[in-house]
Amino acid sequence: MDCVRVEEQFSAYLEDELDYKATKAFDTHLANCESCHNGFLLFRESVNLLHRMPSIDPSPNFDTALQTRLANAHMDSISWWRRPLKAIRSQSIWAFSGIALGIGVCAIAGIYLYQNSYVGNEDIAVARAEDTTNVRRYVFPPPRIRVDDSWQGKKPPLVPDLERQRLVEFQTFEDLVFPKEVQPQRVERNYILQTVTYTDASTRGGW
Amino acid sequence: MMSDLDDELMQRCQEGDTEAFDLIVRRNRAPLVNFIGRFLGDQNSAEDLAQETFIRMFKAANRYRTGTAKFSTWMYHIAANLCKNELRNRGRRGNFFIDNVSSEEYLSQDNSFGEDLIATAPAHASLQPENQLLQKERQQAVQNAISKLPERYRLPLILRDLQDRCYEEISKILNLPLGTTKSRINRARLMLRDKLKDFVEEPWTA
Repeated sequence: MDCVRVEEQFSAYLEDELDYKATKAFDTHLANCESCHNGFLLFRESVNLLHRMPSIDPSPNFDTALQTRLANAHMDSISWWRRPLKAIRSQSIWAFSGIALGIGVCAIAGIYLYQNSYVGNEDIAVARAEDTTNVRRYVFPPPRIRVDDSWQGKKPPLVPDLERQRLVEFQTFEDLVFPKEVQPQRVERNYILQTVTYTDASTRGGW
Repeated sequence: MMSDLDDELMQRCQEGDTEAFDLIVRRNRAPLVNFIGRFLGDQNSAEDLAQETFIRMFKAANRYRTGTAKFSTWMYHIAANLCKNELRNRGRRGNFFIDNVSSEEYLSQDNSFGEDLIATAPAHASLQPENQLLQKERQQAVQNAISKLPERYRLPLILRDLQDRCYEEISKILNLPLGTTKSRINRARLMLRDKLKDFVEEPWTA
């Protein structure tokens, strides 16, 4: 066995991994080669030095820093649109309850306002212009519009001040003329902005 | 230290048990910081990379499969890759540690490399002050010698002699054949022996 081969087996010899024959050959070589003998003793001492190295302990703030980084990494890992939900969940139950309560109040208020603004009588609605100097009353019994006779033969009435009017449903625009700047758009169901009052016109018929 | 309990804790972590991951951290932070610290020779960077290792483990927890590999193999594999990357980055930034500086030069220059690691080492109370100084000097020289080893020798040496991992596990951590792992460790020890000649008491004179 030559010196190079012996050096290659230093670790195996040190850790008792050589078989009997190899161990015997190793011992024989070391007994006859001072260089390898001294080299092996140095080798063993330096490995012992390694084993005696103290361990490096984490600093006291290691856990705190890690927790912060983990929390950030966790937030980064979830989709942006789920982050607000996640943030809400991480807050106290009271904050979440408060938000739920707010949404509920808004929903109830919305329903109330919607009901109040709803033009209820779908069969007959009476529209009246706010401008009393040009009062025109129209009764729109479905399926077609009937307009009172006061303007028959004259210029069809304008619907004034549309921007301040409220929404009322009726069947057609054909009998009305609108100012150019407030031409309503035709939609699937036709709407016009007008002030609406409720009436029992269905029992009174049209004017 | 690390056992099947880590596997069980990882399973619990996959089921959403965050306390299980806290326990994994508490069980493994010391060996991990030691491994990275000895590799880089710098405690601050070691802690930073150890935390990064835990973060990567946390993110990849759902991909961890018990039974396919030991938990410690997985953990050291992640840490070893981070160490290699850090070394490359330092090389690019030009602040690679004390390569090409001999241990004698290093000590005579009062180089502070590794001092933070040595300073935290508990000196044995029974040692005389001069012996304590000698012990610290030796530890510093060993750290210096480790840091001067090429990366491919340094990692297996630390895993074997400082982390007490078996050859089979080291070969899995580093994706190396078993024979290559053994020969690299032997080669690393020989290189270390040559670097530490002046700090090892000549055994044949004792």
